[in-house]
Amino acid sequence: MTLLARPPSATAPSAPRGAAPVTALACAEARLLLRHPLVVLALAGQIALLTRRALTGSAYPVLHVIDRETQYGPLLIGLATLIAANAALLRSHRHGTDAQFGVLVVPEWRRTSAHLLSVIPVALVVAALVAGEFTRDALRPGAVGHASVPELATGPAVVALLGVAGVVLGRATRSPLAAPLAVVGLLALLLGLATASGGGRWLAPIAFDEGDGALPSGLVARPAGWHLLYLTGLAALLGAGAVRFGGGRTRLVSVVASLAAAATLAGAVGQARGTGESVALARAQALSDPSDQQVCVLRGVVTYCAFPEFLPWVDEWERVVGEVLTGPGTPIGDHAFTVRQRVSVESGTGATGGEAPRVSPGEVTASTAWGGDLDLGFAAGVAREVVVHDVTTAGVYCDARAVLITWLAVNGVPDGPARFERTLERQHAGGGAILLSSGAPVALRERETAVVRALFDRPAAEVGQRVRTHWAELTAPGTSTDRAARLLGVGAPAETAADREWGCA
Amino acid sequence: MRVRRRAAGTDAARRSRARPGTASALVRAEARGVPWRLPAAAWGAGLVLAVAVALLPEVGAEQRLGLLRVVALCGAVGVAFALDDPARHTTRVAPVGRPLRQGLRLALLLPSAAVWWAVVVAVGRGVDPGPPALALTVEAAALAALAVALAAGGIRFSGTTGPGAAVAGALLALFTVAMVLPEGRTPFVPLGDARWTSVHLGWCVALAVGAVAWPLLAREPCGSRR
Repeated sequence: MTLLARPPSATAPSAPRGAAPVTALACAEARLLLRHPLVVLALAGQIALLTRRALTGSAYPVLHVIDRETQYGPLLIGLATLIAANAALLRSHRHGTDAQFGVLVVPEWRRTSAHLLSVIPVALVVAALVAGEFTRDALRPGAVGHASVPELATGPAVVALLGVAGVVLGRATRSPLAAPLAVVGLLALLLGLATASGGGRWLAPIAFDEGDGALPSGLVARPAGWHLLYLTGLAALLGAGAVRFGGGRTRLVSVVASLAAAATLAGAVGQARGTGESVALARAQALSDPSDQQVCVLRGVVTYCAFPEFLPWVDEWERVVGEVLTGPGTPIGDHAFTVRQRVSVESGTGATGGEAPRVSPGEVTASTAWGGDLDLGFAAGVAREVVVHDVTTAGVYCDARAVLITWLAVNGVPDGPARFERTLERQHAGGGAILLSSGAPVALRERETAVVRALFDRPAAEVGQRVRTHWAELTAPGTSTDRAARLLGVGAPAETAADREWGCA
Repeated sequence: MRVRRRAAGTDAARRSRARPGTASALVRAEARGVPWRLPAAAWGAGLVLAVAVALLPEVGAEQRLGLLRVVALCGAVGVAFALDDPARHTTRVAPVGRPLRQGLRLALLLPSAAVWWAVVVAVGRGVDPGPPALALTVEAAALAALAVALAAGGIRFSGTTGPGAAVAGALLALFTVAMVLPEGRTPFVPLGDARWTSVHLGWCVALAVGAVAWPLLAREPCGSRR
């Protein structure tokens, strides 16, 4: 009878205290969430995409552009998580077992907490993917710029927010339509706000900023930190709201809800303020006259001026300049000029407006992007400086100079002829070609294109010898394309109707 | 085993030869069985979006096309719930086959979907330039046919009573994947693209495949408990 001496105090069923049951349920739900078909599909798609990018992506990433590009994949994973978390919460309703859960000692609000916590592992997996993606790019030898941690953390935060939104939707309504409609709404929001400007677009999970080039990181000024605060605050607020709604009226929940509300409000206000006056001024200056913000280095006879972050690319520019200047056709001389980096008007972060850039004579423009076929356009800019000493002409040269500029540019880059053809293929079939040089584009008509193509079939050394012999005549403004073709030993086709539509310089 | 299979087979054959009177008797029951609220809510949301697209002044033609495709997705999500039937396990003993019961449901639901889409197109026509209505209609119809085929497949190959939620999820996944495909491969071609006609022929094929897949998937498996 000694067994009865101890009073049966712990046998009465009461709600178990402590975090153990919630943690156990959260772990189980997290495993199920990570195995949900849509989450698996989204994660697998993202991994496949990242693998492809790691193998074939640009060798010259700008890290403060790459950081915000890590958010697109997580957004889609977040949509999948929203549906999966909602389905997990409604599982008992679908299977008609809500009544059974009602007699469990773990109350509804604690089960809701577990569902909310189950989203965290998905966010951690996404964080690992983002970290891997960014590390791969940061380790590339040509990487420049400075990434922002809030931008990198936005992807995982979006996943957490959308997962929490799925749970909250499930608590708010049992309709199986709620989650799909929420995703449809988000898709519409993203499609509709993709091109919107102003502070309001930051209310969406991610704010798109796409542009042709990059600004220096100091001029980006995206309110990423405020946005991260807004996202995490909103996730915590929604979660605390759902727990409170389910009966969890503890002090901790109240404190979390109040803090989250304050954080959401602060984030929303902070991100809507827009960029400051000083940043706008600095941007306008970077666009019109960037020399004050740049560092110049002299290599041989050429001066290279770049925004400090982009200095590692000077070696790349120097390689192309060297190839053009010492190519088979260029006469040896000490023609001094400057390569200046410029941001394009369409650079991301909604930085539009300001004066159009004033390009001074003797300055070749390099952009804030590099890699791929961009060196061909840059080589065209250098060749134009060498041939006509004037980089400000926007028109097309309809004479020997166009042939010469293009031939020098194509010979200044590795595998030039094939890449010239690729550039032409990408352009619409309107005849002629535009070599995208930053600054004024180098364009040529169908007729000059045909002559250049004919020159590719001849040995470069032989053409180079002829170019050097007739350099003065080929660079003179009046020399016709027919004459150039004769001097270089090839034939020139007649002028086409499309050719006559170009405005000649 | 063989005896049971044969019995089930003859059962299915007998069901498929249901008399015409049976169909008319079933119409009211099936009309009650269709979860009207779900399609109505999805279509309502789609209509709100279509009106918003027509009213917002700063939406460009390309963006409008994208948003109207989301409206078409709303329509398909609504249709996805057409075959949801909580009483599925009790109605399987009814003396008519699954094709007739599902066919009746679709005959009740799809005309409403068509009317809804006509209203969406009419709303879209209110702005200039209007969207390419015929091409969008083909896309919307193909999405809806896909939804029906997936729902019928869900019922055919599982014991679920409500495949709608899963089908809606699958549609969203397909739509999103199609949307993020690179420009040269996406079935959602931009306006004025060279692939416009060929891709829309592809949409026609998808519509035909979906329409053919449903009667095949609606058949009851012989000798199965499902």
